Amino acid sequence: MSRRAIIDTPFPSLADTARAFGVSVAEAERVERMLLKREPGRRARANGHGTTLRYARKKASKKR
Amino acid sequence: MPAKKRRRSAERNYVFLNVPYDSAFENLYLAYIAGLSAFGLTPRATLEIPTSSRRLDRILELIDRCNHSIHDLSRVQLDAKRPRVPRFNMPFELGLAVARDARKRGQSWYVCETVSHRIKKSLSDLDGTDVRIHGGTVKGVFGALCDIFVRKTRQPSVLEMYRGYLQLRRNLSRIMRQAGAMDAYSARVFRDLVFAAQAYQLETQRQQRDGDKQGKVKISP
Repeated sequence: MSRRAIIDTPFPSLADTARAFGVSVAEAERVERMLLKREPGRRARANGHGTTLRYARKKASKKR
Repeated sequence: MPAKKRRRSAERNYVFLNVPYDSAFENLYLAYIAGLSAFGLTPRATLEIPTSSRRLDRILELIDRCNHSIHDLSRVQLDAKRPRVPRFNMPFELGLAVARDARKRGQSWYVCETVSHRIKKSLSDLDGTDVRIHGGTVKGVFGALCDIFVRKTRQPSVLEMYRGYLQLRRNLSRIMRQAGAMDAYSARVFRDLVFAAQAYQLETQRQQRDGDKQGKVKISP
């Protein structure tokens, strides 16, 4: 097979794809929401920031 | 568009994806899903079919429903694990697609390989057939897809496909975690990857329509 395939059909919607896989549209929307949602980052302090001497000095200098 | 006509039009977008299911192929597997989705096509694979005695019938049914099929014959070597045998599933499914095309014109099938000229030895029956060589790289896969498919309205660029691929790559672990899967080759992971790739494409198009000329997509990694 060497010929090229010309695609003239519109982009399928998520509902079309969900139907193709035999699942509800809610399943596709769940994945879409997961992509749109940023994973909650840890709080800066819990992550170790805000406790270093350098950061404390910087913070203290701003207070003055 | 009426529902029936729309459904038939959606089915014309199905691509039967016949690729090896091993960890070394994972990047290319994601590249195929991202690339096909960028063309507005829906990848379908035997991963969707549960293992049962009726498996062959279901494979035939799936091939029958797809307008195009892509067969990656990159894995011709022996399996690393015992028993050390080559995988015959991919050439077998290629044979089914070829037979289906010969019987009932309308389905197009395409063959991809990693190494050039190797297929002349591994499957000499395909002499005279164009085999797309992707060199085992993600960009090679996108190049092969651009060579195979032409979209009438808007041809996606390799960069767009690559962005879609990165999006899938970043979200793969999250998708696998949600599915409780150990690798990317389970029915639910495959389905969610297709949804993710398509949602990314739809979001990109929406943003482009909204006049985002910089092409930056706000979907978070």
